[in-house]
Amino acid sequence: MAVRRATALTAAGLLLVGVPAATAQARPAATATVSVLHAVPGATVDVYANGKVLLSNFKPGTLTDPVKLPEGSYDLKVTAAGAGAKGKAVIEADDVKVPGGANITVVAHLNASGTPVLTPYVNDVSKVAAGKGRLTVRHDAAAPAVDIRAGGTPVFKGLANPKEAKADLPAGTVKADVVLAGTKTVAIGPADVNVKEGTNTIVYAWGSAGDKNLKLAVQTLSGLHHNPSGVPGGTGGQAAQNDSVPVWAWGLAVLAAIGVVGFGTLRLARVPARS
Amino acid sequence: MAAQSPTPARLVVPAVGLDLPIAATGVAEDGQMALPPDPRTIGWYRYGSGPGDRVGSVVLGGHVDSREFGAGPLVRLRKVRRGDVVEVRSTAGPVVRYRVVEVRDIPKKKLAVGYLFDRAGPRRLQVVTCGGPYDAGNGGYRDNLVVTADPMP
Repeated sequence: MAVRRATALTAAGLLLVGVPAATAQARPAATATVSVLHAVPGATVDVYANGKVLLSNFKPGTLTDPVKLPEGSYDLKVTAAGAGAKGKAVIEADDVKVPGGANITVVAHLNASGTPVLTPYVNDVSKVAAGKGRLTVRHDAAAPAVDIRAGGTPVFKGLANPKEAKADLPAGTVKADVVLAGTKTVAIGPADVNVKEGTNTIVYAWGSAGDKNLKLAVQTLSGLHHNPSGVPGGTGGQAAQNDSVPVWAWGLAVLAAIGVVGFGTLRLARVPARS
Repeated sequence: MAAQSPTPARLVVPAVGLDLPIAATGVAEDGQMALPPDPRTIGWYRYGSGPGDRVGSVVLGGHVDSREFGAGPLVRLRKVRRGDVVEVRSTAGPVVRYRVVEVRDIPKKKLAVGYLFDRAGPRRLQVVTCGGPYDAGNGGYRDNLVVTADPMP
């Protein structure tokens, strides 16, 4: 398969666009969190970074655990398993910028026309509102543009390889499927997708429509939760604490008791409320 | 983490005769912890830690009273003292026992939600209701009554 140097530019560009420059500047010695997903059907590969083996015997459909890499530029090369550092590249991407502090997933996948490419995505690890989860969908399959539907309703429309779409949704299970854009022709699914609270659930559509091996891969990034803003109180007022009633209120109570003040009981009921 | 944990089902504080069912809750429209409307049931923040988890706070919260149902059993939470034993019974697994380390009234505006809902720190139980004076025109109760308990060995 051909060497894809053009991808390198795309890769570096995506990374630079996706991360605020300040992040890298403020922490010059920062590391990036990098995961790698192998989404090219059929080929077991080795992955090299700057000539050193990063992953070996890497099988299709596998997502690595995140690793910390020092920020900087990386020359990435994917070869057939066992081909060696000087072996023929299946995919190659030079000078891929890895900014400090970013959370990145590098995906080896097919482009829309079926050629293997590398796409680095910057994962959104910003906080999610309490009770919500983030759903990210990435089109990494040799297939035309698609709509992603939840419960039969399109939520992400016209997603093309290698684009992504995302939304923060109430936590819970979503019955999702993938249809060809603008149609009801189901390409993948339906599948139950668990949108976990405080988590970015990233779903990758990969494989090839032509070879009828479209699949989903799922990555989850947790710990993005916000806490509830507080704990509400009762609505009755029956359990209000009397020790906060000011002295003059007790005076009123006494006067009310001996019938000096009209509406005394009513007044007393309201007095503690204002203190 | 919390998903694999058994669901807490009952809160018991023998020293003050408190015994009420627990219902799983989430987040209300206004962003606060959702509470069961009936003060005879206490809520468990299901996105946080459960009693079976190895880290984090189990947060239980309930209304002390309601316009509709009147005063509830959590009125007794105010009588809880440092050293009292609190039991959390779950749908499965053993009863988890805690010992009260702190009983505090905290103005709602100063409630440290990061500490209260901590999911990564030490195992803890936080039982929250409301307290202090009641001001119907200003959001109801001024304070949260927070009972903090550590797991017993």
